[in-house]
Amino acid sequence: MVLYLKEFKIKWGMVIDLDRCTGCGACMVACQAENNIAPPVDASDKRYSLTWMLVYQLSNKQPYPNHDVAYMPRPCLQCGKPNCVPVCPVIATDKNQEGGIVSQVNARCIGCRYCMAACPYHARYFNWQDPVWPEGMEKTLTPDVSTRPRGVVEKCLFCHHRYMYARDKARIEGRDPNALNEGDYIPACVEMCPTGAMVFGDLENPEHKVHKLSKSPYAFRLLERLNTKPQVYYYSKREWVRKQGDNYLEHETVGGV
Amino acid sequence: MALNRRSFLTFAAGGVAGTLFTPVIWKSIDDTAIWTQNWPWIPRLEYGPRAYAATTCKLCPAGCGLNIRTAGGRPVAAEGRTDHPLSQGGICPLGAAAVQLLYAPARIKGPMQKQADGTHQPISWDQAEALLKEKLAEQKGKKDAVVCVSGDENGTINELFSALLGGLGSDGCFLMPGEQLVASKVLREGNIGYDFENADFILAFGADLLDSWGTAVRNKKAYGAAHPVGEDASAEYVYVGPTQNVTGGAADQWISVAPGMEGVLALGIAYHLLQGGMTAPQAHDFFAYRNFVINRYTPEYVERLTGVAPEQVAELARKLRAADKPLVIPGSSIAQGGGVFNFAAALSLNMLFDNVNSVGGIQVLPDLPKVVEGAKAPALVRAKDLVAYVQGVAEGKVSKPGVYLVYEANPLFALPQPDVAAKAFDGAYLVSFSTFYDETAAQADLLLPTPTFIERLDDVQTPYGSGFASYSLTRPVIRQPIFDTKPTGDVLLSVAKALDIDLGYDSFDKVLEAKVAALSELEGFFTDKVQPWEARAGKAPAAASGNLWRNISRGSFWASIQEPFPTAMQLGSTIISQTAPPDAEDWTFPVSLAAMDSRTYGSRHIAIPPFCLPLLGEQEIQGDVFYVWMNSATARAYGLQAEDKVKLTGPNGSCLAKVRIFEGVGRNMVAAPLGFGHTAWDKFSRNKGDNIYKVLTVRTEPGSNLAVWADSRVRIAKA
Repeated sequence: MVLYLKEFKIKWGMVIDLDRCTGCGACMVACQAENNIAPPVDASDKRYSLTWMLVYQLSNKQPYPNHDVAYMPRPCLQCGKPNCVPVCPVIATDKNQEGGIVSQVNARCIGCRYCMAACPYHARYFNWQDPVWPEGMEKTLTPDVSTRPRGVVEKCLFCHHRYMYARDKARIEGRDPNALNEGDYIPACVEMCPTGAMVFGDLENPEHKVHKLSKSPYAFRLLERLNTKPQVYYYSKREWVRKQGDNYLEHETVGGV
Repeated sequence: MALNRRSFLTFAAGGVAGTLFTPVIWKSIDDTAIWTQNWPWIPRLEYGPRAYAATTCKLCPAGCGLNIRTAGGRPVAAEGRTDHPLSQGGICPLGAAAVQLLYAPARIKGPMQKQADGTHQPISWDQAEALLKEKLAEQKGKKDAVVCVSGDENGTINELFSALLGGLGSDGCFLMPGEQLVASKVLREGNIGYDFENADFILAFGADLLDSWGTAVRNKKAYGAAHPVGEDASAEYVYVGPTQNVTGGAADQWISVAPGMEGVLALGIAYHLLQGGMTAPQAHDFFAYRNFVINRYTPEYVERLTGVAPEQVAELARKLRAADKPLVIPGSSIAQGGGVFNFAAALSLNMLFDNVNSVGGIQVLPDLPKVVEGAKAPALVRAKDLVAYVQGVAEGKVSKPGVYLVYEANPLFALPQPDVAAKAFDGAYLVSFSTFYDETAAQADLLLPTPTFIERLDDVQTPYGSGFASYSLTRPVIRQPIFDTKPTGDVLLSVAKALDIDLGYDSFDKVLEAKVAALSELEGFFTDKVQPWEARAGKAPAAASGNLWRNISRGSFWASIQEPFPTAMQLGSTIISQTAPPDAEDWTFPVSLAAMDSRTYGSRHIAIPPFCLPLLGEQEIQGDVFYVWMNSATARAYGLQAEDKVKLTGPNGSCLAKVRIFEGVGRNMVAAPLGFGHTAWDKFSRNKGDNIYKVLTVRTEPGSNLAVWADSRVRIAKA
């Protein structure tokens, strides 16, 4: 079964500049509000909190004063060869639509969590608890993303509803929905980033900025050697950051200059 | 036909294959999955037309432009406004959580009065205003018997407070402490602003300009624009501050200096600049400054006090000189509690480069015209030292006022040594105008909740740190406030009327309209085509014309780059030499406490919003225990390891925490986050960690007599 190895003419992707991200977390809050994720009372137990977008702190592990930090926002990486798709027994997750976004159908998910076990990036989250909004706060739910019940797996979809809106808008304006301009479709996290560290676009379209950036010697993908071919690229001029991107050993060299 | 083993297996295998080919089983699994997910307690989505409403954020003093997204008239999400120079499409985590805060369980649902048993019971607005009138009338004519504490640094509401207090015979209108207090001690008139966009070398002393200081989102945009993805940086950022906080981590270079020692390093740099022959002929006191710096701030002395190697200081001086448009930002790493010495010392570097009121330099900005008769000049309100006042009251040196009016501020949590504040407040009639049930509201005798900025008309004038004078409005995005709240401006006007004090207006909206009308006194423009920094760099904007009120109330951003008066700058040699820190080691409290502020932890008057909780790392808070950070050498010196319980003890308070080893903290320092340890609010913020304001200790800075607490010290021990 090689359906999920389908190639796409459009591949939505991100390039995240880790030298520019300050780790403020605006993307995480924007994502929660956009995607109707219930606020947790105790978020300190990370096994139970849902963070479709999660900012990790990286450290060069040098003692003071040579210490350096970098912040790594991690959405679902929308792998080109997603590990989560072939293991799903009910085909609740799939990668079959133009754009190359790995979908997740919440209503079909039976909560077996095979996909979570398969994902090397911990980008999938199991709803251990009923989502509870404080009284009245459910009025702030956006009409775009359905609420998910306890017992299903959820994940970042690159704000797929925004893709649908952008395509509809293009159709209404008489443009080709399969040839969106850069900026027509942007996920919430990218739009809100105050330093502009995240760039979004079609990796296959030479007119989009991400196309060129993804080919930079400073660009890398997480755990590249697993060959999952993520559609999220990271960018850093710092070698130690690139090394941590793929767990390189001390003696190994990485790309870039 | 006998059923033998072979035929049984064939039958079974065929049966299994058959079930695989029938859709029934797959359909029923699918149905079961959907059916088991249809629980009535999972909220259904409500649909409706989508729209946006442009407004301005009031959750912290940065004054960012927000677009509130609505669906069927319900606000659902906050986004940064692209047409607003202070946000430019970006947003901070606190602003992003603004809409959900509308429904935070901590909101006060209507006016309330404290009962004899200490609980709060709802009353009507008429009763509440009558009560406020009665309490104020009792104090009318007594000198300084009514005190106002405002947490809104840049709203016109402060004019109403100070005029009302003036009418009652009181002079006690205070702002919560912030950078503007220190700046006002150095700069007698006008506001100070920084032209980040046009600078090419930014050296920040303390000021956490990418997170909790000044116009944070605008600063981040300027930082982002100077570091384009995939290209070389066009400006260099250097951060001098205790910890590798957001600014320290993102800056091109981070130099750790204990809190309170930033100014010493600044003068250490000045030493090299002066030795290199730099002069400031425009300053009257240049020679006094030169002598003072060269005699005292020698490389050896600076190294002994700051721990920064002389070569590093010399290198910084060299980089500053090599830059075309260097900009030096003074500040405290928590944007409060810094002293005049650090501020003036860092500011003096700008004057050596003669970049006052020049492109890419510091700007002296005019205050916008006053519109309420009887209100004090903003510069006078900014210059009042609340912490020193509160200490004076607590110690009995100043007579205790009869009534405290607290607006959008939480002094019983967010003043250093909050127990001293509690003592100063004890026994007086406490009125809280807070939107949320904060620590001060929990103690208040009368609660008069103000609507959130999403539900009311209000304004933002020139946030601290902005490079230009500006004005924008917040406006009600929803027709009716969600709860029984009333804008504080209207409450003040109605109570003033009942007290026969004429403030000249009958509603707060009219005050704002008058404010907008008064803007025409200054040369201003709308930022729809030209941004203020472009205008400063030479691009001519079209002067704002037409109906100002109509434009601004619909979201237009008004800006001015006019300078208030011809500035005769001084290097501040007198104040720098008088306020210089004592050259002594403190062995009782050997460790520097580097408090950390971040918009993740809310702001001075907002606790951590529910939507910001997931941002906190595993090593920031774990259950109800929070972490203090130190580097491995410091931890070793005190026999501590990661996850050990530790007690921080200051001269006036202590707190318990766990140890996080983080190498981005300087030598012999312990970094601790502000904003934890709330005791009121709601289940999302309450009882998480401990309040570091308890450990911060106030000292009086010699020479300026300013209350200073950013450079507090502690003892640490395994608990």
